[in-house]
Amino acid sequence: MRSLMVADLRARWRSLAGLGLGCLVVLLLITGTYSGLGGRAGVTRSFGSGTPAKMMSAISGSPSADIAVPANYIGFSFSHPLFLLLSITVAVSSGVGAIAADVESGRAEMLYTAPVSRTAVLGARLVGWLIAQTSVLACAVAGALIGSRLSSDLSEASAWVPLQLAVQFGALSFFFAAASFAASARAQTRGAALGAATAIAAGSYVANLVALLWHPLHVLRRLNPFGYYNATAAADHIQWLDALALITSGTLLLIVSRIWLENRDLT
Amino acid sequence: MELSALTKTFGQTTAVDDVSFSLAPGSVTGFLGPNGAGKTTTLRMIGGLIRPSSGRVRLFGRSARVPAARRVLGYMPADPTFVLNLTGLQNLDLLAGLRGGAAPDRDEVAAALSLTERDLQLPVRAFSSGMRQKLAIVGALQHRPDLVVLDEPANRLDPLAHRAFCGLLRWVAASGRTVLLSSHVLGEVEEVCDAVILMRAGRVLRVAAVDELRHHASREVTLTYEAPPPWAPAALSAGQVEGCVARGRIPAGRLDVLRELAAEPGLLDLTVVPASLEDVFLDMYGEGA
Repeated sequence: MRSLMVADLRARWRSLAGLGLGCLVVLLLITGTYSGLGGRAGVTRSFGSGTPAKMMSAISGSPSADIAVPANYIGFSFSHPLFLLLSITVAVSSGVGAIAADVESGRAEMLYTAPVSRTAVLGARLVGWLIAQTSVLACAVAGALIGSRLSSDLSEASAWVPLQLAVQFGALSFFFAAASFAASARAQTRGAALGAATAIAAGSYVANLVALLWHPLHVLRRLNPFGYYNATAAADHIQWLDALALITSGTLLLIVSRIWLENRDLT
Repeated sequence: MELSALTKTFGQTTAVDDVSFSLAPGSVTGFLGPNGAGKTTTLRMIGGLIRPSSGRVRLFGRSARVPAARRVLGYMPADPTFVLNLTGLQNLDLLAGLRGGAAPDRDEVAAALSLTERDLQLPVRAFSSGMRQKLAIVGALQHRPDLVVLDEPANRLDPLAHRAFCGLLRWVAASGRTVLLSSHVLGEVEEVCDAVILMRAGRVLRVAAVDELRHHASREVTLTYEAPPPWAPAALSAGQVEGCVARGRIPAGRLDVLRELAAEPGLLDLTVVPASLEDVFLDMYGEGA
């Protein structure tokens, strides 16, 4: 299955390079401007207190975190909507392209008539996603590290913080990749799979944000994957239980994907 | 390869209905039928792409759903699709890699189809439709499969490439391998196939040797008269008159009809054209069939 993985990565390297570069630039800009904003005091001043600050904290995945604190600020950068958009695109595009796009384009007839099991093809695509996602996250970590060095006020945060955040985010991206694989295994067209995967990601994000900002709907937090990704908490230390919850539910989705793929007609 | 009571339904529609046949090793068998007869669905079940609603496909004794059974299979779909931004060679490597990596016949097949090394270094995006078709043929044959299933392989091939392709099929069969060829190019089927399977409305209409089918098909008769006849002789079916010439068809093996026609007053010439596979096809599927 190595040949399939290599071919997929070769075919996608330009888009992956673009997403990686995008993540590097976004993280570099956010972290690199911390000192420019005036460090901790300056960030607090810039975003004020009350609702705007609460909004910014909510975006960082926590209702109460002070994002002006250096480590939390790096955490905020790893939950910035632009970063999320770029990095979750890797998961969604990998999943959607895995099955539904092959069926729609007719490429499935070239691939699945080979003496390889459908599960093996799914596995190869999963490993391909892992390589792609790791590469893009490595770019994000590099951006955050360079930005932190450019902003001297961020230096009181440990150099391990971006790596912790990447690991924590890895679990979230695994969930979205698995959801996209499931949508792809079920859908007849790439558009249908993309629509379902995007709806899951965007719907979850909005539900989480609303739950963080409006207490009566707080219960929604633990019912959606973003509720298990608290970037400011992960900046302190990796939230292993949250990661485990995402990996477990992602694994269940992959099992469902496998069952759907094994039992469907590939036309 | 053996198909037993193979049936596939999509909702209320039965695309393939109780299809059974088997192919002998070393044979080239044509798979014919009008559009919508269920040919492609049957081929996709052979390739393991579609699950039969009932019945089974066995490749050399093993179910086609078992991946290892498809090791012997070379499959070419009707509309082959490649990774467009990879080169022809990279696409062939991918297909070979999925089949274990070996491609002993790649160079020979590519050369026969005039696909040069330089062509194969181009991204598939830059290939013409004919080159993509040739690439798919190479992809189906490069790993020297024991069973080759081809769905409309002659689409988009120019006459030279088509001739080369027919030669390749003969070469495959001569080496003891089995070919199932779905095609609407009846001349091609006639040229390379030993037998044909005729499908209609999802069912097998007939399985027979090409010569046997031709032998039993109606044939065209042309009669030339001294003066324009008022109408075509009644013994001709679908008879037409054009000046001094009357044309029509007579059933196979009817010497009595030929004698009757030969005795027509004012007849100068009588020509009987041997039945072709196209005649067989028209007999089977044409109006009034």
